[in-house]
Amino acid sequence: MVKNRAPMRTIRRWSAKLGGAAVTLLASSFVVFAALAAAPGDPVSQLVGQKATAAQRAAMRAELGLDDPLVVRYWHWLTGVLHGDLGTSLTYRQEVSALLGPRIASTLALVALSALITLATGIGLGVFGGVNSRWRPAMNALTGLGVAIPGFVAAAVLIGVFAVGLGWFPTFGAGSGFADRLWHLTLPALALSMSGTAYIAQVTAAAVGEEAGRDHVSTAVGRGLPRSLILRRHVVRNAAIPVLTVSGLMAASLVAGAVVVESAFAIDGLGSLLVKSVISKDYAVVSAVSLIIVTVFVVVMTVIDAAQAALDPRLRERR
Amino acid sequence: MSTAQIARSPALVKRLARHDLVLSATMLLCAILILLALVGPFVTPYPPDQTDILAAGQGPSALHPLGTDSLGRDLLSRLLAGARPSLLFPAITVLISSVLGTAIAIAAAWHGGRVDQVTARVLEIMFAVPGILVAVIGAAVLGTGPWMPVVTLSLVYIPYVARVVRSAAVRECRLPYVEACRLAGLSGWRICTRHVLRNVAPLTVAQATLAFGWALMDFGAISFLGLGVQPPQAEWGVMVNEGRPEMLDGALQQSLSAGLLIVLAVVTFNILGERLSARIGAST
Amino acid sequence: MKPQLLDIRRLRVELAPRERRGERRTVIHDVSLSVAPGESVGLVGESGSGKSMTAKAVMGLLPRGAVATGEILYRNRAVLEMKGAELAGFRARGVSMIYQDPRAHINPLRTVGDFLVEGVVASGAMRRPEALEAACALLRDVGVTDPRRRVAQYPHQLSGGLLQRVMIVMALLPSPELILADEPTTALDVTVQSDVMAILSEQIRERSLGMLFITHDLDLAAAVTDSLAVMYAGVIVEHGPAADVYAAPRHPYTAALLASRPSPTSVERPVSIPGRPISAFEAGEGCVFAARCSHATGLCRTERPDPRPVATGTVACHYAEELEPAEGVRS
Repeated sequence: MVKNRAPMRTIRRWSAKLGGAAVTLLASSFVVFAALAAAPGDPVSQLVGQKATAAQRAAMRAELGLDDPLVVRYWHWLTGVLHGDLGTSLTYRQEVSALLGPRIASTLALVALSALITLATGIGLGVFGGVNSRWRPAMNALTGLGVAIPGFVAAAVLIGVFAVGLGWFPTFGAGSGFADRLWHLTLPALALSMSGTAYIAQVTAAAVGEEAGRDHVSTAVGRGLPRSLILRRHVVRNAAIPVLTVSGLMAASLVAGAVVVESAFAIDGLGSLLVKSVISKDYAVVSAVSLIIVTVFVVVMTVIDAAQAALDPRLRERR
Repeated sequence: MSTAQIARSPALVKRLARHDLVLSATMLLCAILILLALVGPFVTPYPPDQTDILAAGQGPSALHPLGTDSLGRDLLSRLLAGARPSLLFPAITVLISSVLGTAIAIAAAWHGGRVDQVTARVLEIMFAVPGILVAVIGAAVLGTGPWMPVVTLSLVYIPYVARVVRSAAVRECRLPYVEACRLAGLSGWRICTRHVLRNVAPLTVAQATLAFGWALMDFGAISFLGLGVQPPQAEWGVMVNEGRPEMLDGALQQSLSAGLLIVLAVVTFNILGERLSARIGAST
Repeated sequence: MKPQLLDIRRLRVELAPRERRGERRTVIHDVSLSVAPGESVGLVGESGSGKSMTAKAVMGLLPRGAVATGEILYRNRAVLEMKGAELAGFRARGVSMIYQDPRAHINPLRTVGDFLVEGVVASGAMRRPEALEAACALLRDVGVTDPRRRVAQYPHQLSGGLLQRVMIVMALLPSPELILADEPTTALDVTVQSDVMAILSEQIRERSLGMLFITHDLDLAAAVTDSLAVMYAGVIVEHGPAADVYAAPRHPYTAALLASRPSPTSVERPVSIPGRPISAFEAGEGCVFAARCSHATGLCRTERPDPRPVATGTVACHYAEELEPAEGVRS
């Protein structure tokens, strides 16, 4: 009887989760939209120019739908987005979707490479430090310094030392072709992942250390199980749950960090586009990029939720 | 238990300093940084904004111990003058979010039930939102300047304090003495401010110290992007940015020295915050 | 002398200092104890008396930095000197431990079946399918109905009593010769305590396993064991056949412990022991119980008594021969 009801419950739980994700997405996109609508500055004067008559302005306002109530404008924007129409950039005089395409690719490459570095190095270092308590102080010192290096400082130091000083890497730009791109991306990815890598290492080491001290691990030791098996099946496996949560958040925050690092390395990506658009008050671009970043967040959070349930049987039956 | 916890707070600092070299060093650094923020702008060898084209782009010398930037401004003076905005704005930010966060946390814990559940969920979602992003979008709405990140980041950091304080406050509210106070006729406001707040206060301080580390980094990044403190005012994040063109000519000192100061400050407050929370964890 | 299964000789355990340059803390002063094959020995004491630490020392599970001196012999092999494969083999096949709190001592993320067969599969004693088969049979023996469903479940889906039976099966599955049971029923609901205890002692008797049964409950220990060792502040103060110790306690501490139990038949206040229980590292030069003992003299405060044979057992008291055995409980 219990078994028969389980799939139903799973379906209901998942539809609730997906519904929650959709609501979060909707709510946060509305907040961003409303905030930008409340921003000072008149997009009309930028479009029609300072010398336009009042009538011309009014016509432009009506054409852009700026006289409609906020909710109506949000609705228009949302339906537009769902049809693939993200609006028109005022500064670039171009469809926003056309602006985004190539920039998404370069940001994605940067974030993916950084995520790879962050997770592989961070978790590797963390497990090592968590298991080998002799190396723990050295690792703590290293990661304590690492988490305190913000992306823009890391960028400055890396450019100064490896690009200008030693000349091993290019200072700016994205490069062309796979190898050249990777070469151009190395320093930005390192700068972007430095603080996150150290943080993941700290969290992993703490989780592994805590798990290793738990009673069920001493049960396993007392049963004469091989050390490698205990580490794999009981310590690391159980520590994976908190590490997973933090890793997901970290991967998502790399997207935000890209805003800074792209600007520092003059990479033409979503982040630098966002900063430029904020400064030039190009709100169509700002809302589109925000929407993308918010979506990434909501998706990552939902994936974390799912992965947690997969890793922790105790979470599978809640509610 | 409650009396023991209340009696604990004053002796905390004294006990903290004992047997802990790293902590003593950290507290000394912390004091130096606070002193820099207070008197830094008054002890600059040159006016921080004074340009001198003849002395532009110099390396360290007797006249300019750290050299000059491309406009000939004295770097040491700019670093000293930059200490105040670099440290003060993040401090104000964290102060606001700690007060709001603690109030929200205690209110949620006190009311319990659905209020608490919803608060916890909202805090969890807010925790995932990175500060830089909110501040960048905030700049579109509020314009650039140092107060913009103060407003936006103080909202972003609310969950940094509230999440941890909330779980402590929930535990506190479940203790029998709270029930006893209620039965004795004390009002909810009085119990929360006199007892619950007092007992979670050390935790608030510890979390706020940690959040200050994040605030230093985020605030520096906002200024680096040109959205926070505006040049020509000296600020460490601004200086890392202004040093970038000089760096291509091989003059690393501006970006490196300002960046190093940020890292040093972050490390200091991170260690302090961690030790504080460890001590609090150990004594409860 | 009959061959012993487990022989603890003058065990002394000191823990690493809490702070750097602090002092080592002694948790066990002097414990000598033996378990013959098929014998059940009760180790009774208050919390902090060092009884659980004794079990940990036997398993080689002492905390990091702890120093153990003396001897622990398992079938004449020195446990304290075992390393690597030998220690793993001893833990996997020689001795099994049943812990107090099954909820904390079983990995919550693995199924009950995984937990049960993990040991025998890892040691190569059985393959997984046959190990699961054997585990199910044992689960049935300890009164778990529907074992096939249980092995597919996770620990949080089982009640505490059920989980402790799972723990008992885990201990029995590799067919060890010695079981260490550390307060196996203390964490359970009162209603299932006697069930679980009955199942455990039945299994021990059927398989004629040796058992070191650790408890704070003198009555329970007297009921299920052959001999009793009473421990206080890291010292075994009295040791002898269970019935004799229970009926005529000779050490003042044992007598006081028996007298301080609440009686099930009267509502009079039990006679509590004056003073508070001390930890082993608080004990001075003299007898560990001297501060709370009504018979204590100057000698007791300056010199620690060695255990000496009295009647059927041993008693660590300077006045063991002179003091009349106290009134215990005749079973």
